[in-house]
Amino acid sequence: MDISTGMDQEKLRQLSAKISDGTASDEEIAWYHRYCLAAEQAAKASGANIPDDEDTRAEMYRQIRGRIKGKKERLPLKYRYAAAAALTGALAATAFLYRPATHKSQPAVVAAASQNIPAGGNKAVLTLANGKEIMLSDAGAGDIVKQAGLRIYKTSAGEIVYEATATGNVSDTGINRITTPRGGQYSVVLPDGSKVWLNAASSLSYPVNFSARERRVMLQGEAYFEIARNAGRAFKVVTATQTVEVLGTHFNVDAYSDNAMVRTTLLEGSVKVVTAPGTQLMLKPGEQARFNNQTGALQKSNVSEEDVIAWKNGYFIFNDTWLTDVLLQLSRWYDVQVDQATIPRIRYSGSIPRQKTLQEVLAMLEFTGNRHFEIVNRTIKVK
Amino acid sequence: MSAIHLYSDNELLDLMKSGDGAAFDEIYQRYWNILFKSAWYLLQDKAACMDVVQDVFVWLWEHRDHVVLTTLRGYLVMAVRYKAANYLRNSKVRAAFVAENAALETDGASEEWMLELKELKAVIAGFTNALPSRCREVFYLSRHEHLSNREIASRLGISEKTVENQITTALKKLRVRLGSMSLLM
Repeated sequence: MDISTGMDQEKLRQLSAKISDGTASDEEIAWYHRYCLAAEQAAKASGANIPDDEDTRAEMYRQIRGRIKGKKERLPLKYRYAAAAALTGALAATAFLYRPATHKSQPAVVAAASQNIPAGGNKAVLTLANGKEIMLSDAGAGDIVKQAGLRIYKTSAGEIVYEATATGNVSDTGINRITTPRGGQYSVVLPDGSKVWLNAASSLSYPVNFSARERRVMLQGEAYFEIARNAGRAFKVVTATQTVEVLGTHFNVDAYSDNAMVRTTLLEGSVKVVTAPGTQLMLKPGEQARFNNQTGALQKSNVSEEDVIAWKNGYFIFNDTWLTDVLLQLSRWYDVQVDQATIPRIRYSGSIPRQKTLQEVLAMLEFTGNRHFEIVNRTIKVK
Repeated sequence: MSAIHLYSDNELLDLMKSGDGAAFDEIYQRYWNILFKSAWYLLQDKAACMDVVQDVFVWLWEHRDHVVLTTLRGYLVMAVRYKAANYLRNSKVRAAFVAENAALETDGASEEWMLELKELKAVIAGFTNALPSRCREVFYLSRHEHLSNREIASRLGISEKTVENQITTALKKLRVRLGSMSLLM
């Protein structure tokens, strides 16, 4: 083939055929490459409109998802996009979940828009010392309590703040409690300036006024702490099976009662983990103490801090995480149950934004892991 | 924070190799537009361009374990060019641009051009699963020089039966990798 002087349609067809078949010589590959560049320049110069809009992006993405999910055969070209275009509107809300219509072997449970289970959000209940309960959400920022020396108010960002408004003793010494439901999260700034982020299905109890010797709070579930430094008053996080003692530091405590382990992870400073039987461990940043609720063993290892506090930053991060644990986390955030009998022993890795709907999250897991999930009566089943 | 858009291409590739769908999604977000444009410059047909880009991404995911590349962007663009060849060979999609006016100079080959060429060769080798050289030669003579089996046999000094077997092998291999694309041939 002689294309040194230019290329006509027939020569281009021959050359492309060889490229496509893998029978082109090195020289022919170089020709083809040169042709591509020349074509690109000419096309750019022509300034024609390129249909690379959002619809194109979304449609290709859907097709890719559909093909990756295991369906290899495709409709002939001319039918493919016409059919898909007709469906685009209906499918816009379920972009991740699209399956080709011919793919009947799997039930389309996940795709049913009516069953869409939204992500959790900033929700909690604040219980004051007198037993009064206040529902907390994003809406209605403002003062909750204003009394001698103390102001409790709510910001619009899912946060509640305790503020000492006067010097001297605060008269209220009662215990307050903030409780997040399944599907809720909230954060609180304590009177000493320490900030605590509460994950879903958790609660934190604390005195409105810390004692002079120590700052003691009680935790169920999971929370991330950024403790204001105060060398004279240790901060103690008490859970059912252990106490974490710190002076001023950043750490995460994952003490859900349905976990096999209580995990305490240090990000900054130093902490001492004391377990009920009297064993204790000092942690350095990046280390995690694991207390086994069954055996009572306390061990430490290095972990990724990012993974541990991903929840606080709006992500699920799975790093070789057992599916059991993955689903446990999802069940708390989306307030659903999990059919334990159907969970295979496999691991997942990846990161998923927590504001996705449950269906989107499961679609991503399916995409990664070759397993199919179903939601029936707010219960996740693994197929 | 581990917002995935902060990851470098190489980190995304590593994540994707470990089966991370989110990393794949991010790669798609980063490159779909560049790839679609690359395809458009060659084909100027929306459906064909969409097909080419999809093929490339599906291929990337399915071969994530053994993708070897210099730069992700270069690799993906070359993959688009490779896939586009299958449409350019087909008269139904008229070549957007036939370079009769463009002087296809051989000189002025920049370093970037050489790197791209290298990537293109690697992509072609990867996609075509490199036919054995004898097989490739036989196939070439049959399909591109339009020689009969007997002519090929005498030219290469092998039996007609061998020629037949080689062509069968070549077709089988090509069919496997072309998969659904064969309906366009």
